[in-house]
Amino acid sequence: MAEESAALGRALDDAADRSSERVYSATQWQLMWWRLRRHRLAMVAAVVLIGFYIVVLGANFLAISDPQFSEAFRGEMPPQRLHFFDGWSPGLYVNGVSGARDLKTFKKIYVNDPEVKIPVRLFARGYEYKFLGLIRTDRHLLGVSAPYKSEETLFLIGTDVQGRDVWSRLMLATRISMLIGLVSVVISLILGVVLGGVSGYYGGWPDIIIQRVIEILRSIPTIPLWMGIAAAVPREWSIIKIYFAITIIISLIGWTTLAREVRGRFLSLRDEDFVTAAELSGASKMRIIFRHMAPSFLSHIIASTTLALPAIIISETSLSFLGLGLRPPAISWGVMLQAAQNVQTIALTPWLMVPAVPVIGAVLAFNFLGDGLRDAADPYG
Amino acid sequence: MLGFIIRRLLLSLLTIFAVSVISFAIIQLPPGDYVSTYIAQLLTSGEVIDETEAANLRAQYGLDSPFPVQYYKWVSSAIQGDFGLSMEYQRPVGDVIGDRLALTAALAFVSIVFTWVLAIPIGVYSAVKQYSVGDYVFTFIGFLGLAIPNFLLALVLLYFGFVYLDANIGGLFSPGMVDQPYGPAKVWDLLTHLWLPSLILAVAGTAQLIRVLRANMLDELRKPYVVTARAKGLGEWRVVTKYPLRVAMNPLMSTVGYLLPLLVSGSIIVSIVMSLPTVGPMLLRSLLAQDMFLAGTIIMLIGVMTVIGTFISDLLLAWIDPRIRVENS
Amino acid sequence: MSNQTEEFLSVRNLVTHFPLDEGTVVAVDGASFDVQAGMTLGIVGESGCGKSVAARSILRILDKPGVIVDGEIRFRRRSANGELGEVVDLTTYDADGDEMRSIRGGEIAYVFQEPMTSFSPVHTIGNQLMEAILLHRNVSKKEAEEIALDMLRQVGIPLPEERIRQYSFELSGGLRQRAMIAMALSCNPSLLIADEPTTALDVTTQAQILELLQNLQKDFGMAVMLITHDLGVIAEMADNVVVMYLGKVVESAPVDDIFHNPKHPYTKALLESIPRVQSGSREKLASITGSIPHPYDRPTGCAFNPRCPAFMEGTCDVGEPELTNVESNHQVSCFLFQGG
Repeated sequence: MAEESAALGRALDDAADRSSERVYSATQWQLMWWRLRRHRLAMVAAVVLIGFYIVVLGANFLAISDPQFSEAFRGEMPPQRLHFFDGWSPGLYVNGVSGARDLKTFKKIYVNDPEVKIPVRLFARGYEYKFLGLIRTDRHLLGVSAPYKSEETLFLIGTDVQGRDVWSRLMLATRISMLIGLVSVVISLILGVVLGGVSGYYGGWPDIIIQRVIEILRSIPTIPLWMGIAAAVPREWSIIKIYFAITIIISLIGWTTLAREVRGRFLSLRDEDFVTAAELSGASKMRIIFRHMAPSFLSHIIASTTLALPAIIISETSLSFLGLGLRPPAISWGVMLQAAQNVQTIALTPWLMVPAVPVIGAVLAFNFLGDGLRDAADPYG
Repeated sequence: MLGFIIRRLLLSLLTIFAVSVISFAIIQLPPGDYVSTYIAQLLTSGEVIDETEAANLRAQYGLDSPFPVQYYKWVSSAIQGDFGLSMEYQRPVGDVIGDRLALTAALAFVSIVFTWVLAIPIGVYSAVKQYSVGDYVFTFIGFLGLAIPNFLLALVLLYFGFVYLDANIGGLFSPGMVDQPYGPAKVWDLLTHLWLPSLILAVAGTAQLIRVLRANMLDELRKPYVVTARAKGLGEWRVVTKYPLRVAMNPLMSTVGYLLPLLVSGSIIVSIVMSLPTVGPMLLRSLLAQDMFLAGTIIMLIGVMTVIGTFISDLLLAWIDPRIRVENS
Repeated sequence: MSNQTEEFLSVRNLVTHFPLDEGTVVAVDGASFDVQAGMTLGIVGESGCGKSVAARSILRILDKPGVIVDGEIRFRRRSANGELGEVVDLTTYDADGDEMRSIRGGEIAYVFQEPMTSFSPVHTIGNQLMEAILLHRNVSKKEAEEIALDMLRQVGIPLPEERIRQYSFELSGGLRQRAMIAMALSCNPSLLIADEPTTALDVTTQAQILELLQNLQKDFGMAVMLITHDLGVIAEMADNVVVMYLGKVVESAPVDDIFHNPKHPYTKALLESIPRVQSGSREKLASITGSIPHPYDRPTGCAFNPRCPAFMEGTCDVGEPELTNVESNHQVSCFLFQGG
């Protein structure tokens, strides 16, 4: 008898030491966070995305020159080199550039003038804007001080055909493209969750109809369809209205995937014993959906939504690239890439392809983060 | 099995109907109608049409009738091959489209072949040799393939071709071949030009397929029937290819059908970038010029072609998957 | 009847590891046991004691990253004329090599626990049976089909001509297990390893399958290694019994001795925990205190010491006992019986 209780005592001591105690008492979100943290690629992606959204918030601050300010004779200028040291002493500057035309080819040539050193300042004054839409200011991250003007001298990624600073336009393009992406995905999500939920939870006729609609949409090539609809957006509309219309069109492209996922989750959860138990104890349908079923698939929906963003970003970029989405004077990655539509242009001014980099970066980042979220959300993974 | 085919056929017909309605709606979208655009065009060249003539034209084209009647008229003439008149080209739409639709289909088809030929060996390798160097390399390339939009890839390749090879690698035919009638030589010429755009299109789909196949294979490789096969004394190569691969491929088969619309969509943009004589560039031009009969017809024809392709792939799926065959017999 | 004292299958000090990221799991920690030709050895133990891993080590079909670290697996192969031939050490063979592959299925066959998932869902039963036959026997496809049909009949499947064209999901659990047995026996192995063959079946089917196995063993004259956690099955089927705990053999004896004369405290506790029909109402069910240790957290000394009612401090938590003979054919691994 004494030996048995001693054995029992030892076994209990062992159990109490285990750190698995923490695991038993953690919430669903804590568990998910711990699993996500181990996914290094997803963590890197998350940091990159935070960087993107910092640009979204501070687009104008990070820009240097007024993005709409065009000066044709400064067109197609290659990127300038930013010098960090003047001889031995630290100092930020760029060289002055003078433009000329090659008499033989009639192409513009820009000549670097090493004698002219234009100092570049941090937090310099530049064009006026409203920070976060509220605070009127004219401070920018980088700029040049009087008597020079940023719009005439500082071009970190060169200029486009109309002489506009590519870097500044890129900052604003990032803001627009990322925002449209976010808003579109939210609309897709709402559509997907509502329609998918109705389909999955109620079944019957609504399910059949919605399923057929989804199948039909999936079987048709979507780009020609949305090209057609986007082309119908009247050109006379204001920029805001056009943003709105394009956002809605893009969100209509991807909702079917989300709807199918949501429906699948509802279908499999509907037959679970814990749902039946809730029904039997008298819970209302709303309560069952939100309190009992939703936590089970919420994490999956977050993962799916993150994974839907790349397609949305590519859609907006493609449509604008073709000239059917956003149009000047709006700026987005696609609009900027429109300037790089043919080979000859790219051969002459390859820096105009730079907007491709944030597109690829954002798509990769959302993919990695979405993968990480999906692995973290899956309790059986 | 027969029931399955009939259901799929009905769904395809329903989809074709939906596509035609949407295409027609797109035709009608821009403000004004065909006749007013026609009148405006004539005005620019100095011609004037009076009110009665305009009214007659409207009646002739049925433009004063309600939407369903117009739709019916359009569809019935479309079935007979009369798709209306292209404003820009002033020729019947059918003539203008010409062989572009067939070329689009060829492009999509070759892309599908590429996708599968590339994805299956790589997917199997990645799963069997999980965490090896090869696996990481392929995963990385796969991610790049997913992330880079195909038209950007096309642009970059065109750039390198132009700058370093001094060649224009766009187009589907060599300059001499374009006007020749179709024969073995022309088909061969087509193939030699087709592989590059097909490969570009296939990249995204291949990356996706590799990921799905790898995930499926990893699941299946852990399953007991694989151990059974090994316990029978089957060689490792056969164990992998005969059993888990067959099972892992099944969900892929059902996605083949949906690969087609994606490829056709992608081909539109890539064709525009690479100036291929397919439907893409023509669609863009017609949309920008509001040449609606041309645009709407192209959209409808693309949709119909895709639905037919999807239906064929569903048939293939039913033929291959014994579970569907047995359940429905 | 073959010579019972001749070596047929001898496992000596088998050590199998699974090196994982979190640490190395020692699944089999120096196990030794024998199977006699034509006889049934029952291996019994709780889940996680290493019995399945030991069996898979014999056939060299360990899941990655499992690897045999030490020990010998001596197996008497069949010579060309069908008689028992020479003894080889299976650990020395390349797991994927021709020799091992010809033994697998041809001389040693394996029946799995879950017949549903052990058959491929997209190939017919006939296809999978015939594959096994064609791998090991030099026959034509037509002959293979005949053999397959005959096997299905022998295991008691009615209408084999229909069944052979069906898929595994079209058969009931009992029929599937019979088909699995047919597939295993189709090449006339000298040893059949049955890994919990009836655990996934209901009790009635269980009885039928066990009876089938017994009859087939007599008909084919083969040895059987039966792995189970069910002492009732052991009592019915086994000639000799091996009790395993945490990767080691703790007791090994003929079946009668195990049940009527158990020596090791673990064996005794197992037997005591079987509910009895004659027990009074509201009598507490005896169980073994504690639970199986975590594989990364093995106790020092004798693996059973934290739960052992006969624990001797200073001895049992310091050294590891060895398998010693207590009576003829009866071995125990316990400090109560060591040191003379």
